[in-house]
Amino acid sequence: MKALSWGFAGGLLLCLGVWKREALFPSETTKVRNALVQLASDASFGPSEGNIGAVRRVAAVADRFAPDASIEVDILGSGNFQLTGRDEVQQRLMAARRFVRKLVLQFHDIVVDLGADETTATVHLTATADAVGEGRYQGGFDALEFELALRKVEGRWRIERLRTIPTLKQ
Amino acid sequence: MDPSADKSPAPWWRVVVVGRNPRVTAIRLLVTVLLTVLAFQYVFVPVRVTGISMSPAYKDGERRWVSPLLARLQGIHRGDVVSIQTSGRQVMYLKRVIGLPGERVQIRKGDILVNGDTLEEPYILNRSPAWNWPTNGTERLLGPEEYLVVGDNRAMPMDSHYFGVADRRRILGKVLR
Repeated sequence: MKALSWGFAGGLLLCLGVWKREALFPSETTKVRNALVQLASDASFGPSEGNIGAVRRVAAVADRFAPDASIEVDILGSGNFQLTGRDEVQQRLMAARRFVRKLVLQFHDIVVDLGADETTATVHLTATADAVGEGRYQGGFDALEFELALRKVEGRWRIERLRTIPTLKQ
Repeated sequence: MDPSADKSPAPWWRVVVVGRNPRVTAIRLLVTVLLTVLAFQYVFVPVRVTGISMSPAYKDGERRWVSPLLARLQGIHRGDVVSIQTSGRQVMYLKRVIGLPGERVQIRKGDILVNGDTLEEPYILNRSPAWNWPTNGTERLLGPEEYLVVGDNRAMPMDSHYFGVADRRRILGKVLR
């Protein structure tokens, strides 16, 4: 009985230690995951957000991309988008904001494959978006699979390449 | 003299928390957790349907079970509804298997042709004649591990309906009726 109690307490302490260590000293994998979750949060907004908030939010999203980032996104029913560079990302996001009143972007199943040098990472994730807007921006999308290449520059993980992966082949 | 008479009975709170025999309780707990994890990982995976692409058989908001074990034991057949993994299991596609490995498939004016023959599909209510796939007008030969999967709601525009060829490794399991 005593041995069991000690075993149980030891297991609990071990779990707590692992969790606290990850919370206090996150691994690079956790940092990448956290950066992407924050990106999804920054990209989401409600209908009551004003212009200053919108500018700040778009800047925060664009800041997650490398200056020479390349983006290739194919959204069913909305078409294909190709962007190059952080500035273009910022401009296109700002332009899109005029047609979208509300956006909830979520990333699921984030799979991080960290490079050997721990300064590069390849990420696979599935994004869902619920949007209220005009024209092709209405409705968002159900599930889109993405592949991202990230690089750690000056302590921050930034997206260098982002492209959609077809779940089903044509 | 009974040796157990010397021992004082365990306090009631300990009996409530770990039972009369903690070792048996620990083993029971371990087995229960293990069986539950295995069951929800390989036997029954709960899913919630979102969207209208599988209407009318599967409605938006419905809860269903997917069985990876059943797909492994019985195999995947034409007409089965399967769940297709994306980068994981949190978000998956629910589609009906239309074409099997090695078959020649095509969608012409809304009709599915398998090896040149029109497929009877009683689960479809309405179909749009605007559906044509592949877009180059030829047949698509499915590879040894490839399945053509399409949703039941063929009344919706083809460019708003996600369908195509799924690799076997992407198919998690069959949806239970």
